[in-house]
Amino acid sequence: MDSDQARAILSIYRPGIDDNDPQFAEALAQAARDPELAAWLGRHRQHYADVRQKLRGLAVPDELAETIVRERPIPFHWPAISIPTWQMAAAVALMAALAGFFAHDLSSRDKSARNRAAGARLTEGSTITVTGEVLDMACYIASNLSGPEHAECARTCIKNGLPVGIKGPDGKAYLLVGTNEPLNAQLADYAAKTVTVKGIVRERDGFLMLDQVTIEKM
Amino acid sequence: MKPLDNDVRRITSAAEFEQLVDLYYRDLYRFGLSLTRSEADAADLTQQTFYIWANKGHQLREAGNAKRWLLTTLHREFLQLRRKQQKFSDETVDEIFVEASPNGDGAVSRSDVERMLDCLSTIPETYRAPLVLYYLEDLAYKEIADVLELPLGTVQSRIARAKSQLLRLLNGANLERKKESCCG
Repeated sequence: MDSDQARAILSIYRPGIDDNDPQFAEALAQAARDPELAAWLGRHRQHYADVRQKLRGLAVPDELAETIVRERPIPFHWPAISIPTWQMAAAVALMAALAGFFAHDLSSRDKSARNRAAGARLTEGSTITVTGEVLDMACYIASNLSGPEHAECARTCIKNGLPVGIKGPDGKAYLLVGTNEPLNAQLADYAAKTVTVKGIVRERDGFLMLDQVTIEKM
Repeated sequence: MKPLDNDVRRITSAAEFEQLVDLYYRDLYRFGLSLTRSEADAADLTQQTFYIWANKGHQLREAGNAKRWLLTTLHREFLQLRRKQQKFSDETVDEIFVEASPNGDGAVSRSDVERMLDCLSTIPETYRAPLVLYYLEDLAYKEIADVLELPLGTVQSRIARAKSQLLRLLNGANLERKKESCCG
């Protein structure tokens, strides 16, 4: 290897970082033999150190870390406390069973009973206000878990993105959805607590949902 | 604080996430600022990168290196941001703040850093990212190639070209500065 070849190779050499990279070994040996190349390498090192110092000296806003951690709702995946697969499967199975039950129930009633049921049903599309407990719907449907003793688990599940709901004083449970967005971030810390929400009633196959929900009172 | 650079664990709690942020947000921000020359964009890219981590970081179990994953993600987000920004030509360039260094040897003046960022911003983006990682990070070339999702040879040749371009630009900028100080 001559000095020109060594210089070309060493043009991307970084002292301290590439010292053990074999692609530079021979070129560094050549620099040790050639004083002119060694002088060039000295300038190269200085340039590298100067630029590196400038870039590494760029100031970082003090509040940035805080902003990242605190101000932006981050849906964590917390494997250690995630809902077990069997529990999710149970929730799905139970929801399917409930849907089947409602379908069967409605079809087997006589017409007048069906009309009475329809009359008692909430009006699809109407805006209502519900005050009640914030539920983690997965645990509630799968295991009937709610209340203060389940608050911490519910908070975690809601934070993790599992469906959030509310149970009103009449015993009806509603899935809660914002205007094309989840409400998990806003409601996670109110798991098992009482809040008031307003939203548009949606009903399908026996399931109740409040759509375009606004949180009125926490 | 234990570095997570070669950590293969999942980030399983808010405390660990905070630790990860604390370890790497400065590096990510400086990488973003060197790429964009915009403080606001750099902050956004850093935030977005950690946001993506929080959503997908658990997939890192096999990948094994948090910092490389974060740098790769930030670079991808930068490319995406650039594509969007190209639609809006009247972008404003944010003011760059430079850490106050004590006077004396090794002090970095604000104007020096601005000049450096100005020069970097004139280097084409495909060359800029490898060059910035070359100077800023202690990554081996293979790792830089992994971060930028490029072949090793491509990364090295781009660094070599970009570096000589930067040298020319810096020499030109220094010449201008000398002229200004001599001739007012």
